Amino acid sequence: MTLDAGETLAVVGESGCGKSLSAMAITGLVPPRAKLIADRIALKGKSLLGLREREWRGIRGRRIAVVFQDPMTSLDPCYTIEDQMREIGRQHLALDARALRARMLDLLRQVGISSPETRLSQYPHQLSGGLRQRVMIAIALMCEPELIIADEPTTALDVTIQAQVLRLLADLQKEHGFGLILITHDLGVVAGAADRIAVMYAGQVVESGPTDTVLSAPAHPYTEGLLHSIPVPGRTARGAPLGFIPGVVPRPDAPHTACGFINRCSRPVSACATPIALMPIDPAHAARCIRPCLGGQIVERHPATETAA
Amino acid sequence: MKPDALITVEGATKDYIVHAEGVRATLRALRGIDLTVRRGEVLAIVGESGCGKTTLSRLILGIEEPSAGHVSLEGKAATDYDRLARAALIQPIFQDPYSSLNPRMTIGQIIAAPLVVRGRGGRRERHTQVMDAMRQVGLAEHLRNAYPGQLSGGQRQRVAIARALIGEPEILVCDEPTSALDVSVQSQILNLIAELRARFSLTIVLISHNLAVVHHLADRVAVMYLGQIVESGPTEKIFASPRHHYTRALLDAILVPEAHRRLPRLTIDAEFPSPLTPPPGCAFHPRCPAADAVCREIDPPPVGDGDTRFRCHHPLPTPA
Ligand SMILES: Nc1ncnc2c1ncn2[C@@H]1O[C@H](COP(=O)(O)OP(=O)(O)O)[C@@H](O)[C@H]1O
Ligand SMILES: Nc1ncnc2c1ncn2[C@@H]1O[C@H](COP(=O)(O)OP(=O)(O)O)[C@@H](O)[C@H]1O
Ligand SMILES: [Mg+2]
Ligand SMILES: [Mg+2]
Repeated sequence: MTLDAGETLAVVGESGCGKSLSAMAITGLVPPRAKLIADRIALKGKSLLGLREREWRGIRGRRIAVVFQDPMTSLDPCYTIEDQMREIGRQHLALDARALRARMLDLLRQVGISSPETRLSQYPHQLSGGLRQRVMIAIALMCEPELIIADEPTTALDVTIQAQVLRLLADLQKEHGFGLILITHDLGVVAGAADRIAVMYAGQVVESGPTDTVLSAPAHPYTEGLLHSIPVPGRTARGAPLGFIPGVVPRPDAPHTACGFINRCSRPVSACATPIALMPIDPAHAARCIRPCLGGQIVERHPATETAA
Repeated sequence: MKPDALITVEGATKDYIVHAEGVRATLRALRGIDLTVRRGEVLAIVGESGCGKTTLSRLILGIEEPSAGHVSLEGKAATDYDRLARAALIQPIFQDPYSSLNPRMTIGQIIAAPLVVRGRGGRRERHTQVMDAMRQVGLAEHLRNAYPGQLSGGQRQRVAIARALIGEPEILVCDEPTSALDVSVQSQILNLIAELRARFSLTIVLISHNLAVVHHLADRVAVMYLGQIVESGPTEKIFASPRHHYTRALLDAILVPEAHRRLPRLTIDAEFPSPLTPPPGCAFHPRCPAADAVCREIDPPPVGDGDTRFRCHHPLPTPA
């Protein structure tokens, strides 16, 4: 995956497909039992592979900030919002106490919190889910990061709050210019919020391209299947059967000897029995499929197999 | 009772005693609910978390009694049914297919349990019924001897549906039946619910926060806000021309996977208030773009407009 400065990339896929692990790989925080193997992970040309913990400290929270689905996992219940924001500010910013407090109040205002003084003195459990997520975004913005990774930031929120938080992220991005990786299982969240999409399935990116292209003309049968399974008011006939993808996701420990989607695919051929590479369709759009759909037609491509497993 | 009413809720309130920061307080989860569910329809209940949807469903299921008002099924108070008679009439399906199935029972035992409890049929007869139910919800026969832990989320929800249907109830109460499932599986469960509804002429109360799902399945919609129904009516009418500003906001907030969409800019502010301290007047006024002095003081009564009802002093106009 690549992300341009100031751009939003949505990483979408069903639970367990590897979205969160991808985010962890970028921030060097893979789980203890996991081993990260990568050709290259780089931020503005600087490699993030094999960094020491001390070097990460200048990057995590500072150049790359992460916002999680459940703010309670990253907020400490025993400290006020002010304590937690101040701690992060002290680590990364050279500001005196007064300037730091002004910065905190300003950030809370920027994320749409109307009485920031009150909120600063409160504990996380005293805030609603939506407010906590706004606080997390304020904390993420503290050091003006170049990249924000938001992992299911609105999944736990009510629909009206979800729309407002997504809007907030988009508005803040316009103002601050950070790149945004928006991880979500909800394709609805992607439309309007992301410039480009990477669709993941069973640990791989199976399609990537501009949001509007992928949503209106999905090339990979998995993307197509997902889109057909979601009712859209005004477009899907009410009550008519929805599309679905038969079968289940392969186990993560299944051997990687064929296209990962072969057992659920609507158009498999014998050539799909080898691992398939992510192949470009045009310079901006790629699919891990030898029979992608292009302009409404299934096209046959040479079974270029993966170079590296 | 209207002639075709199967479920009738009249003036129902529900209070809970809670301890908020060490102080005993009364939380009014439902504040005067009037609702009719007609035989054979799918009625959806929508609204933000904490607005009282699950509480209302528990009153309808007869699991809890209203603090005031009445809830009746086929003209008889929901809590006056004995357990077996009620189970034969109405069955719940919950959001989480993981916690609602006993992990130590086989799928066959789980599905047969309602029959066993009622002492219905002999072993062989029950076996036939279980196999029928499994076929109807699309579960492969060999899964009869499997345990819930060996099944996927979608399969488990099918088990829950088979168990609910085996006693041939008239009413299903589905509380967020697909929220815990992935989208590719969600659509199969929605298709199943639609199919079974047609086949068995079921009456369904569908609780969902997903307005697109509601639009797809429901005949009528009731929108709840802070323990009240603020708008109700036929699905297409509500979606085409909502009268309440809260309904408008919920519809605006629907995010669909279509190209060339823009993120919505909602006209409502702030957040859902605590039911411990409901705002005076219209409970929605602190978030409403149309609120004025009247809204801050007087709770708007429900007004009828043909087959829709809404509670608002300044309703959105109907299209000319
Ligand atoms: N700490 C861990 N130990 C073992 N397996 C894990 C761990 N974290 C994630 N996995 C596995 O890796 C796969 C991808 O997980 P994840 O990235 O969390 O998926 P997603 O975020 O897309 O839902 C899943 O099969 C998951 O079970
Ligand atoms: N058993 C209970 N004890 C105390 N408060 C409750 C209980 N059940 C629900 N509530 C409260 O009642 C309100 C409505 O809850 P609920 O019906 O679960 O809402 P919803 O299903 O719409 O999210 C919430 O404020 C909730 O905290
Ligand atoms: Mg995840
Ligand atoms: Mg609920």
